[in-house]
Amino acid sequence: MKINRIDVFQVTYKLLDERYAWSKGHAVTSFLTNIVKVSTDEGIAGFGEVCPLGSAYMDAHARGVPSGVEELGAALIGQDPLRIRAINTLMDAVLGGHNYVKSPLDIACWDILGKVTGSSVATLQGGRYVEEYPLYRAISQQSPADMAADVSRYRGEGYRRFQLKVGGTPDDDIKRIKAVLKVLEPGDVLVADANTGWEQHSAIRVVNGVAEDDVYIEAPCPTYEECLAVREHTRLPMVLDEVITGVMPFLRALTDRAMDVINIKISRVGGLTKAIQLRNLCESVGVVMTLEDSWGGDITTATIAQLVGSTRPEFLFTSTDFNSYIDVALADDAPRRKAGRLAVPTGPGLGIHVNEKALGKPVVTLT
Amino acid sequence: MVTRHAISHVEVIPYGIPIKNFADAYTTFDRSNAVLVKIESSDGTVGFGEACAWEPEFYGETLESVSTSIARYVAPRIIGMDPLNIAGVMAVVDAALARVTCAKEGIDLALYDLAGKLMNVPVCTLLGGSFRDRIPAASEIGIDVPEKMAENALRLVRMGFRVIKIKGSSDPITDIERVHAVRAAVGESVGLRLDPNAHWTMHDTLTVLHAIEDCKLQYLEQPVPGLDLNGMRKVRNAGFLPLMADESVWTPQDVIELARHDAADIVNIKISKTCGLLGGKKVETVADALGMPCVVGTEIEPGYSLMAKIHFAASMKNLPFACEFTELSLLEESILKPRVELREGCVNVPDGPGFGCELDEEVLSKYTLKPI
Repeated sequence: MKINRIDVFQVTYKLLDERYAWSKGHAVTSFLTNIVKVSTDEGIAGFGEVCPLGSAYMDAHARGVPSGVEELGAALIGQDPLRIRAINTLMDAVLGGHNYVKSPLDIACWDILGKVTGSSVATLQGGRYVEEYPLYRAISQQSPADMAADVSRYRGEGYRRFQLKVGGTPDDDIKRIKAVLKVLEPGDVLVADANTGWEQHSAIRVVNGVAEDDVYIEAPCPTYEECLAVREHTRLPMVLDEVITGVMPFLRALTDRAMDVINIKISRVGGLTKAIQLRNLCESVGVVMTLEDSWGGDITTATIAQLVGSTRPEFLFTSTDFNSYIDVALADDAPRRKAGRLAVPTGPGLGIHVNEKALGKPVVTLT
Repeated sequence: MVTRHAISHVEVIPYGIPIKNFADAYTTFDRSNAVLVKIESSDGTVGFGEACAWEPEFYGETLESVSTSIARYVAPRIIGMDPLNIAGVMAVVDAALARVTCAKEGIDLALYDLAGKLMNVPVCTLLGGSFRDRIPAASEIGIDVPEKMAENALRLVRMGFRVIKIKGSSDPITDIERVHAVRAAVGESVGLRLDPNAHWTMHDTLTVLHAIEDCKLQYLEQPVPGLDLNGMRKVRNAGFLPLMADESVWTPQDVIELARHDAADIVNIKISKTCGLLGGKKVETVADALGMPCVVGTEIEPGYSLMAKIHFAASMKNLPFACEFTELSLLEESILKPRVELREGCVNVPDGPGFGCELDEEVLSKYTLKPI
């Protein structure tokens, strides 16, 4: 089997909640997502998606995807998509960095492998542990009262895990955390996610201010060293996210006992293949995970579901359903949230059928 | 519509194939013992695996213990499970029995063969896809008097091997003579390695390394005991040869510890240490991230574990050294159809479903041992 065509489509998603705000004043109202279709000479095609959260969150931006795929395309045309690790090695050899560009191509190869074998991607990763799993809801940064109100609303929709977008001033963030804790019930989980928005001294003020509270602290500072310093000042459980860009940073953090949980974002580590490697490693060494991506729609949500479905449930901390935040559906059979939980698709590949008419015309076609 | 499969039958068949007499630092043997593991799916498809059982001195597992572990403690718990959920089945196996890496290897391999057959792809595709179609092969010469080892090394070269591992002993002074004799016999063009299987002291090791410096080996393997990571670091820091860890590495955590102690350059992955392919890929992932190349090591595999080793090596990103296929120079017969052959110093990666080979029932029945 050989790759004989690659198309990149761009679709705009509008947020149902109108605005999503996180640390340091960053906010979005819509997303430009990239859908990559990899076609083969045997008529089987696979899809992958990458949807950066604006252009400031990671070293990724939506308009960079088509040009990145063009850079990789000549090397990929003619390759066997079932040799997925070799495809990854080739992409790394042709284009340095740019993990987010490689991610949808890698995911599309997994989708093809699933369709060739008649198996879901979860099965191909070693098998399914769960049929469905609980979700978290990200709570956009607002006033403490508004964030507490949002948490109550989403609790009513079935969510029991909440990721609070903090990363503002220490005094405001302490108020946000305490306001939300008042509306939670026993068994609920609260994560205060600063998305690297605090300086070290601010982060230490926050963790001291909520030291007796039941809350996880995620991604307090921009650098690993600052996060480690914060970790040394608190007994609160720590989640590392943005600084975990692959296996090596993870191993360093593991050696330093720098976290209790890591957040694996598929496009940040370069795709499903590398996310699976990291996930398997975490299971081996006993580190719990949030499994997700930067953002996305039906294809991303299905991809995450396949990763979560094949993860030992005791190692899943949280995950989310990005397709419930936006106004566009690209697959009628994509998994949809029910009572705060998401089912893992069982069909071949990603387990969904992408409505190609909804994608419009490709912005890049390589043959 | 995805068909649901269920494990309907698990069977163990202990057997042993005669081999040419071979000695390492642990023991001497003339038969490669293994337990063939047969897992049948509800649609009648059968996957074959194999559990290493020839060296209890290394693994602590015997033909009897492997057979009993699988038949009595594992099989009842996995009947009815979906065989395509390999990680899920292995989690149940892990929950049932601690350690017993060889018994788990047999289950894991049979599941991968079965999955490959059910999905109609070779096992290496399920491991992330193949990086290569041929695997460079090394063989070994067992412990003997130096002259005899030199003869045996020449025999391997005539068979087509371009890389040879010399087994070291608990007599390091004679090991020095052995290495010199082999190098003199095979010349400079053949790659040589040395493996005393953790039977030397630090002092022995440095003495030997100094004395064989002119023999230009590829690397030294596991001179001191597996848990002695400080000893490994001291040997490595002495700077004579790259250092390979074998007895020190069974899990991904072990690789991390080696890196923490700066205790090795290269990792020997044996799928009988890693509970099979699923665990082997985890060890490889960590080693790869830490910049430590891996070699797929040998267990004198008589059958399906040999095939698993080929698929595993095919799926490894970094493979700068020849992998160990000692069994190709020792086994007198094979339960596999077609038999794995050495071609121009390499073995070919099969492209058929599963492990890409068939069971030779006739040969198996000839060497089947009394059921435990």
